Amino acid sequence: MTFVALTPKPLVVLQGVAKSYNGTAALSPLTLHIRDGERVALLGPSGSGKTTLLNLIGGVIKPDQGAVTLDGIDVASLHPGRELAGLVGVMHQQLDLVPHLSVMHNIMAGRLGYWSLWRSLVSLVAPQEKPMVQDALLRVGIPDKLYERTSHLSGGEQQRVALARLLAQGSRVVLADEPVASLDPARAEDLMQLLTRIVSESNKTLIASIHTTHLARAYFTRAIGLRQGKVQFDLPVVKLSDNILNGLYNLSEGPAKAKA
Amino acid sequence: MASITSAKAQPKPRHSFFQGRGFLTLILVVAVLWSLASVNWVEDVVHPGGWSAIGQLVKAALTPELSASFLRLGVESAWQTVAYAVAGMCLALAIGFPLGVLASGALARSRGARWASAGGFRFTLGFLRSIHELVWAWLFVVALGLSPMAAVLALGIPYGGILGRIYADILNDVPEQPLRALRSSGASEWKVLLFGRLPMAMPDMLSYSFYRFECALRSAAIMGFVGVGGLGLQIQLSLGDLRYEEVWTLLYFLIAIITLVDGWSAWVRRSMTR
Repeated sequence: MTFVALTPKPLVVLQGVAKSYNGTAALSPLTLHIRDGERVALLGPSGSGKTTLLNLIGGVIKPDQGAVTLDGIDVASLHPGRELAGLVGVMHQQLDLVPHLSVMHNIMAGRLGYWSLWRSLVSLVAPQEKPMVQDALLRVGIPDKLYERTSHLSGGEQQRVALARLLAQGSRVVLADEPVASLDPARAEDLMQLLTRIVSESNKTLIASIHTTHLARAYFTRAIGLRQGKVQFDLPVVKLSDNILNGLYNLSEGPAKAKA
Repeated sequence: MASITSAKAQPKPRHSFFQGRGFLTLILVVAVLWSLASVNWVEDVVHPGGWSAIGQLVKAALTPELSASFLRLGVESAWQTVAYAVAGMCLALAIGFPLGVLASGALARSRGARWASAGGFRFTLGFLRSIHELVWAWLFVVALGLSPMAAVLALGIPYGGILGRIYADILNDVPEQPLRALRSSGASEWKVLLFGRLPMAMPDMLSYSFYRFECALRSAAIMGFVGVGGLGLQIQLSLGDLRYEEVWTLLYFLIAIITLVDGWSAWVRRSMTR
């Protein structure tokens, strides 16, 4: 026990967490500790439980058994407004912005969990916390787009606005479900660079499911391989070998049949 | 490509003339001609003396009454009609907007609450609009006398029901993804309404409200026939006196108002999407 006390307290803890849908196990009982500042890549074939895992950490779904705690607090007991929003935020695709609003208002939407209804209403005409919004936009690299209508921005710029909204939300854990799946390789690289820079600058913890293994190697610190709802490996990315990855994605049953 | 070539390769099935489309067309054309032939064009369609009346109407359309005193009457009654329509629309918005939001169920947290809210308020809106504005006008004239209040209430109540129903539908049809994103950043349903549903629904809601305002102008003119003043009353009086030139002047006023409102709504919608 003294050993545990010496290491930094883990920020995200899943303790014997399991989840099944209609009797099919999406996630077998699973225990996982993620420390502050880690960047975790979730790897694995489709249907391996990556999204389920992210949704459990984000408090979107509840586990059938076990508990998810963030900074020592059970996610189920957190108020969905400011408490949960301050701890965990989900990185969204550009489709999740409100196209009719200005960039400023879309970024402000990240503060709604903290604001009273009255303050939210007022901020539609008299913007609240504007310096913070401007700062967030500066950090994603498009400071001159503040008053632009969001639908007039390019896809890449909208992706940046979505990131700025996440910054405004100020959550300590950032979850992303295949953040670059819909982008071409160059743009995917760009976004991953921006995302990891922002996350490490503000000492946030990143947990993202990802399909491209070279992105996992380049931008993450730790890789967790999931297959049929079970953890296949949990390694620092430097120890990821092609052999291990082939075993994870191999279509035939079990990792033993993997041909390297 | 594959489907096109295979369709071409197949031999076209041959029908005889009596099975085909041509035969059906022939039957229909004969039936229509026969029915037209059976109409007594001289006496049944236009009553005796009707032709000369139509002639007078057309002539009057080209020579409307343009005397200064009548134009002043026209401006006054047009102004009165616009005032009824604006006041009626304000009442309709005051009824339709809150009821529409409630009828969309957007503020309800649980599924049961949403069902109850949507059901209850949609029923209320249905009641308001199932009675035509002219019928409301008769009822209010009976209750309140020939006062402007009767016209405004008669317009506002059914229009509130119509606006509310359409607002509820528009608010429900907004894309769900941005709303989910707002909820995940901790926004309550009220805030989701303010920052998601309403901004996304606003262009459609605005455009429909303008269309309804146009309808309200026409209805407000018709209200005159019940006796509450405005263009409709003057049209009725002039028709009674068989002064078709005056009728046309008043109709041109109505057309002018509607055209102005149409231009205004186009301008507002353009500036909203800019």
